[in-house]
Amino acid sequence: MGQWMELIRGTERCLWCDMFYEGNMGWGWVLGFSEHTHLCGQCENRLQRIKELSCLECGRPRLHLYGEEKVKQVEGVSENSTPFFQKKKLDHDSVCLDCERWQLVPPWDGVRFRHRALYVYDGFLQEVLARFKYREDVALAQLFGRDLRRLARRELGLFDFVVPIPLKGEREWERGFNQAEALAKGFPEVVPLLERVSMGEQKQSKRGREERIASLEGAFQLAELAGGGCLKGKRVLIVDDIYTTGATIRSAAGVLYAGGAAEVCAVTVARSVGKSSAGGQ
Amino acid sequence: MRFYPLQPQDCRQLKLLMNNPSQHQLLPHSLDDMPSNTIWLIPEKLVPLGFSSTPANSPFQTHFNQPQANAWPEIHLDFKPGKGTTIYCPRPNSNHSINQELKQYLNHRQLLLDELPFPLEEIHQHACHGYLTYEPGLMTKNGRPHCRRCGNHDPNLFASYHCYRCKQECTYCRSCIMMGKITSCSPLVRWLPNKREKRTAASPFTHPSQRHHQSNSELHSNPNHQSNSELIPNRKPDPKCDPSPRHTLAWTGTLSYFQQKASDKLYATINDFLHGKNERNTFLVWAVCGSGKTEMLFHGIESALNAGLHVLIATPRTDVVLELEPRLKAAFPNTKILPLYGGAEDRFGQGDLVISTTHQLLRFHNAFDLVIIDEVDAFPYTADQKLRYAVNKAKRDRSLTVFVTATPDGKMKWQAETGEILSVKVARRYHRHPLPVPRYKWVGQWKKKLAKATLPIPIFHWIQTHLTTQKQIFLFVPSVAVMHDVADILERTLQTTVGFVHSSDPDRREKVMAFRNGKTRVLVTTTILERGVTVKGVQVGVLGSEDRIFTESALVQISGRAGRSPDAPTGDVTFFHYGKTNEMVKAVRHIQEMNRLGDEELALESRKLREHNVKEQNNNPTGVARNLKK
Repeated sequence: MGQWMELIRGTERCLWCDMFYEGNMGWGWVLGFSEHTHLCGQCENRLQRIKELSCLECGRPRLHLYGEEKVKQVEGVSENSTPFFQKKKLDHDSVCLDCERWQLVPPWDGVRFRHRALYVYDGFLQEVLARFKYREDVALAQLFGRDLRRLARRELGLFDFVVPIPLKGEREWERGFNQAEALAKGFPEVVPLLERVSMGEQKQSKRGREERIASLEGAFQLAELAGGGCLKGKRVLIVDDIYTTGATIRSAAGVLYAGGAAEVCAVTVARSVGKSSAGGQ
Repeated sequence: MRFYPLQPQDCRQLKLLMNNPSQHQLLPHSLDDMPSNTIWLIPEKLVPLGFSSTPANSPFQTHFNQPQANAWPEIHLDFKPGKGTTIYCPRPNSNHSINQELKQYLNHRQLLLDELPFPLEEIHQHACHGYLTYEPGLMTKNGRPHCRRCGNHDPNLFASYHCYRCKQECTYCRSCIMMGKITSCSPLVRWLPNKREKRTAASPFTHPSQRHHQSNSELHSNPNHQSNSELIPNRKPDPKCDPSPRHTLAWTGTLSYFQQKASDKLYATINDFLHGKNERNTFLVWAVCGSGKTEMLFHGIESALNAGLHVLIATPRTDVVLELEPRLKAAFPNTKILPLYGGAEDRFGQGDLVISTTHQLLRFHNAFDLVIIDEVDAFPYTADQKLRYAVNKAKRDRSLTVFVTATPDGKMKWQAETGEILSVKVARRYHRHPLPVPRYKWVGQWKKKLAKATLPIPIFHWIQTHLTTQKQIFLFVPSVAVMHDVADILERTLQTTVGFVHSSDPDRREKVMAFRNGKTRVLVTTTILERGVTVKGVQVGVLGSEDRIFTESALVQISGRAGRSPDAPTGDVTFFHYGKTNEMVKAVRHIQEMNRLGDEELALESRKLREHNVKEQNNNPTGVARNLKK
């Protein structure tokens, strides 16, 4: 009896821990329009979703120093008791130091760029993305595809083109797939508008900020598809896996702006929040 | 990666076409005896671009002109077993000089091309000269994918994607992905065993006196062929080729009566195996928890090593490898011991005695003569099937497998009872005290109580009694969620330190250490954490022992935590349940049966001793006189 119950209950299988778990069983499931979840409750809880922003431009999350629960205990005020308008309200030009620095460099003093991420890049997500990228577990892209689409729709609006960050040919061979392309599978409007031209020997994930920015001079160019002014006045969304300093994404966005795009935004799965907190968690 | 599959006639045609000698390195060095049902593979990356301009009727030309997916029927390296096509392995070319380093890497292993730090040209050259061969990593069995490295055939654990290497939909195995991806287009590389080479080169891993292939033609007609033609090796150690002196056992401890019995029987079985006299190739050591089994194995391992066998100790967990390594190193100071686990330094090294986890074992192929499977404290039992698959792949055709376990499964028990496999039972711990027998305690709907943030009263009562007598407590629960709740409740209500730990806890080791030192008095846990967590006078409770994860073997293992120390050989084991399950009853019967066997044997032993003494006294009248004086 117990075993039968387990079989009925364990309708879905977690992509991370391979355990069977109970999906959201409701009328939606019976009628066949409920969505598949890919992570079991426990693994889902280990991901740290970004709820509050401290920078409207690059989507830097607001982090509580002691973690949310401790804050609640200390102040005696639960999160829900703050009125929603106060919670949502941010200064219109609340921009972090990083983005201020960016705004001094030519293309960014004139045009706007916005980025949003799904999760904080913490220890667990690091593990997940490492398996996804370096162990080449392409199936893990399903975890994020749908959520990325929703995030873009909710926070950034509608787009004419969706562009995954391309990989250099050699690295693509090494990896067997392009992680950004796999993540962009959830979007209907994917067009490979960009091409990678040059890239140093080193991987981007092993450089510092200055090096990253310097190495990306002319790393991207517009593909032939984007020629003939088809970008003119269009909104373009860039998809990638991690936003660290924004060097890669901004250099891609710069190329797209130069091609005549009206607005370029970006979504990523993870937003790294400085070395101290990323390493600590 | 794409490969060009060439039929024998294609190969011959191509050989005529190639005028540049460097291009010959793509083809096997001799094509004379290439059977018609075999094909030859050339990696796409190695084919020079100029090849597309070869005459129109060349085999390459047809492939180049139709680069669509349907033009590559075999490229996916996907061989159906019944199909009868195999990959051609030419007769080894003795004139070709081999790269010893590559050989060291590949010896007795099956590796992915990405795992080999050598250029593809060099690897392929060795293939051309008949030293290694490519094998498909993923096969299709009855329309379902099947991973040839880890044996995974659960369709849920495969995924497919558009692969940049083979430019088409590619399936890969998610079960062993942490060891490098096996896709339908990635081959496994295997070194071919070779008679001539064995005579000249003596690596520490290959013993020269072993395994001669009787016929070479048989070998290259079928590379997947598991040769049964191996001679029964002449197991005398050959001093010329053996790089290390004889393996010596430095361990000087003494074995208990029960250990000695098992050790002797194992030694005899290995001896029989060496002389080709054994009628069974499986040996079961059914030893209760805490019986000191590593020591039982020493003599057997020593004799096997000295006979030049390759010995493997396989275990499902890294912890066990880490714990066994220093003990074995101390016991065998002259032997090269190679520990293999995820993150080990020397993962592609060679050794006489290999201690490996399941995952690392998957890389081996046809390598070991004596395999010892150590799963006494393996829990949970899920890793089991994979381990069995890995062992089957890693052992030689003629080999001896020794299972060391406290809880053999039903099939193995039955085989042992009927004599289908050899076995020995070690029914007592080394300190000769019986195992504590679990008690049942009905606690009603403990889940409801838990939801109300409390525990059933009998549990509180039980914990309080033991805490007042200064005992430490292990409390097992079915799941991590329950573990957190229970730990919260206990922390709130008891005036003592309560710890909790589960298998994927990052601070697991520190928490267990704290418990071992006695800083934590109560430890709530989901799994057995570490082997040999021998805490003196620990009491064991299982909350919700009716749960499905508490199988007979799990419960026997859990009960085996109590009374391990010779100073406090008794302990209280209690199953707090809401309805007795068959598994619980079976576990209790199992323990009772073992205790009964132990009693019988002890009685037998003491009777023998008495008879022996009587005999001695009869033979030795002075002794009698002395006794009489007393």
